[in-house]
Amino acid sequence: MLLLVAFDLRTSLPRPEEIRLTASRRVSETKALMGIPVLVELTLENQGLRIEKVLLRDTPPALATSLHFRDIPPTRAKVTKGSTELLCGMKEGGKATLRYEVQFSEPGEYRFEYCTVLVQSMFGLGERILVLPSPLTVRVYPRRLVKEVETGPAMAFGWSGVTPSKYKGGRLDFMNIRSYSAGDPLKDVNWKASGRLGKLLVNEWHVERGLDCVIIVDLSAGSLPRVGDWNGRGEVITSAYELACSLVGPGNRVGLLVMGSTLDKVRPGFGSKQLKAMVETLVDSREGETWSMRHAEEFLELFFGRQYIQHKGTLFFVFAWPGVELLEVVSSLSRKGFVCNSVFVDTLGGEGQALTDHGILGAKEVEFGVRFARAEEDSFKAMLTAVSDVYAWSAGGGFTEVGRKARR
Amino acid sequence: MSPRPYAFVLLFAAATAAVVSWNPLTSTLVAACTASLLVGFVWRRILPTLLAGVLLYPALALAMKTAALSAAWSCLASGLFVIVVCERMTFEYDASEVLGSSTGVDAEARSLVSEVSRAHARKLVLYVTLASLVIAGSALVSTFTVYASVLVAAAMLLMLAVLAYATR
Repeated sequence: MLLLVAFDLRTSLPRPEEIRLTASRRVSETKALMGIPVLVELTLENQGLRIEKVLLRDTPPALATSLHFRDIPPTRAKVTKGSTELLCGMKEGGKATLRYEVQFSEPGEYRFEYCTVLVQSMFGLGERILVLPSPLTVRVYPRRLVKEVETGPAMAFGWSGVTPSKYKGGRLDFMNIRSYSAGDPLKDVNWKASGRLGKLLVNEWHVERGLDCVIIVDLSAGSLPRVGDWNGRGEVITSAYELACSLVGPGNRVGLLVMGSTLDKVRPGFGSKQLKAMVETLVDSREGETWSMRHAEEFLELFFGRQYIQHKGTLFFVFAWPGVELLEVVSSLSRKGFVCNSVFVDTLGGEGQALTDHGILGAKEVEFGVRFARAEEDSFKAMLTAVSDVYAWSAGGGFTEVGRKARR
Repeated sequence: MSPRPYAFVLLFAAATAAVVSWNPLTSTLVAACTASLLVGFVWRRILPTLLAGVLLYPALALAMKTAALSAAWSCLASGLFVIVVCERMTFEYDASEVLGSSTGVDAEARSLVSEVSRAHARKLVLYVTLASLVIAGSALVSTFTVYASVLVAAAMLLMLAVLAYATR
């Protein structure tokens, strides 16, 4: 035994000041999509003396926005391929690269912070632990799961409004046929009539009228289901993003209000820049109790006053579970003449899966719980139908109409 | 790469030692060794694994002591066996932790681990050779004087200590 100790210590460990290890990190995409694997490469370089045995340990990135909750584990990216550990020997000037793939389940900003390096003698009798900073940030965006949903005016769910669209020449109502003049888009050429009369004729349409609307996203901690490091925020944000795409695409004027740990707002606007601003806001949003739905009405009045006090806009409430405050605010706004739409995000599947994965409940118990929750959900939907149109959203399934408010 | 074969080797040695020596003390030591080994193996812990080796050492030495093999030789052989198997097993914990990832590892990581594993095996072989040389040298010189084995072992350890100090 003494011989082993002497033998192992003969190749002594370098002193801390002699260890010149540096770590550099690279990812395949710094702007990633939810559910799409991202390759992480962590390269360790030795600029000092030879090291016989190095154990490199990396930590998958954590959602930066959830680090503020000390009692809740931070949401981390899931390793889908490879290992976060590497065992190697390091020659002078040598390099070793640790590769693994991660997948993100929730939109937001994920931060890689440091990696741990264990420098050991071959028999492990001597060991030094180093913590090397290797920061990198990955912004994760929601992925549009159902691309077919396009709510053109009067096309889907009757989401048409009175605001003239920024995009002229929309195909809402056919008005007339006239002679072609330079600059008319080819898609408006009436080929049949042109063929009959022997000259180019184009169709004329009524100016498209779109919605003037605000999407209000409820990220109150109380209304978001949470099991361990899983929560319904990802699904709520994906749903809000799909809704924003559906509304902005056909030329509606759309604004955004996110109620959660921080109050995020995007003033109404048109086009892809507006959509980009809304997506960035959704990615940076945080769940929490600071700004609950109780405040939604006053913020609508404060930030969107001109549109909504004078013109009465359309409101879309996106939430995972309707709290009392949400029901109150929808009722109140509906009474004041706003056209309210409630989008019920289905998170029960994800919650059931998380309960099973964490070993909290068995498959049968989860099935029973989901049935019970569905019954409860149906009663909430019935309550909401009295004051708003109600739609359900599920990942992969998109929007489905649940009930419409009876209008005079 | 897996620590499993080494665990089986230790278990087999422990069972053989218990059967051959057949006395309550050895059986108790072997039972404690088995328990400690299982704890170390299941939770990949180094200390319980080394403790299993320490518990197996006297039992194995007792079992190996025969008419042909004196007590001193059986102690040396048992000690060497336990040190080598336990050391390799604890090394395999680190290696299998990396390679045993449920999501697999790439070819480069596998190759790097294999390289370290080969270096470790080479070093173990060198250690066994050195230890055997020390033992053989002690045995040879002990034919001249009764204290020679102690003197040779001490001299060799001193040499290694000086070498370790010199290379620092």
